[in-house]
Amino acid sequence: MPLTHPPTPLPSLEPVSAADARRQLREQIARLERELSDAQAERSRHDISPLVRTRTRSHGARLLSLGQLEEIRDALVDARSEIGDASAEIEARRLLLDAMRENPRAFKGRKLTSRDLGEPGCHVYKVAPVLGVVGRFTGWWRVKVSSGCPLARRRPGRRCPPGRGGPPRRALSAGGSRRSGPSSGCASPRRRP
Amino acid sequence: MVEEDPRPRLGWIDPLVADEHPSLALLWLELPVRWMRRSPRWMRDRLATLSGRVDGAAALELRRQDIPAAWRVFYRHVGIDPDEDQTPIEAAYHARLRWGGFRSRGMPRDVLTTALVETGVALWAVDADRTAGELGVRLSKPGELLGAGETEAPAGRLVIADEHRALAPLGGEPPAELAVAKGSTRAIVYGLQFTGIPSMHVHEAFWTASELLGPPVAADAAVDR
Repeated sequence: MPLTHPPTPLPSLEPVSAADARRQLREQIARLERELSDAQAERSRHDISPLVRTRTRSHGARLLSLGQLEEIRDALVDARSEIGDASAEIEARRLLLDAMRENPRAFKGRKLTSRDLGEPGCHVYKVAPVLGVVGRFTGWWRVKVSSGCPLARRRPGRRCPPGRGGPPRRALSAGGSRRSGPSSGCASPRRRP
Repeated sequence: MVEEDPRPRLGWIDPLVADEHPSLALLWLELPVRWMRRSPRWMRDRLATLSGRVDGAAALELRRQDIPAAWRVFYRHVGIDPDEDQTPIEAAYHARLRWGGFRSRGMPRDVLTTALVETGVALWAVDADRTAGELGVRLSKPGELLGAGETEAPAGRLVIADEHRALAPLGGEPPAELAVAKGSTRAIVYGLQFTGIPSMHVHEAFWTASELLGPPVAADAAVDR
């Protein structure tokens, strides 16, 4: 089909030198790094280790090419979006916990951990029946919060130094329930008959 | 020659480096120094006071502060991942949290730690008798060795150099053979400035270093050595 109108000429673009392009990339990297730091500080209020590591490798201070700067910029963009996605998921889980507290019967058996909520510690929020079978039959449900992190357990084969004596005969197990036998500390030295 | 009223001097920057990082500056200052395996009590007390100021909350907020953030950006700009190789101030804060305080490592290292924590500006020191001429920043040459020749710098790395040889990687510790040691009388203290680090903080860091290194050694220091 013949053209009725002549093609519109493209606007002339100013040529960007490689040095200008690198400068612009460095500005983008600076902005992204600050955004990442803000997101990290807001998202993780209890851990100084980075939530997301960029997929870049250190090789010592050097002058970077355009491609290397682009690679760093892209890695920062990925890290930023990864933190954003994780934050959105955590926010959704916090809303779910609120809903579980409001109406436990609608979330029977549902479990959330403090890790799911982006919080420190080892709490588990679980919708459980009150008084076991009674609550199950009467429809009386509530959100039960576990007590915390498990205790340290005894390493097999570890012995007490001389004069320290043996461990308590009964101690808390990792799950928090009492059971017989040593669960922490060091084992008693064997006595000869 | 040690100056009466010490003011940091600007080091030279290789034109190739200056084109890419126009805001980068190297400042250095020659100071009298006395190496001590164990710092005097007043120095250890000052570190203890600083340890009390830095807690977990401060470490969590560190990345959002201007100067530590500027360090992270600069590290990215020169190809160092600050999460892999920590910036000097982040490394100091993490060590503080790990050890429960800023550990005293003798003089003049404690002085540099104090200046770093109080201002956010990292300073390094080398023995002035083992350097020649003015300091600057340039790219390392193929096969070039750092300092007295025990550590090799890969070609094309940014290094602190004197007029004859590369001394230390940019942003890194100088090799042990150049460090201030027993018998050293003069040290060259140097630091970096770039976008986001105000001159006032840099000068304060050098002033802190010269104040702590400059005064005559206190009486209890001789006992503590």
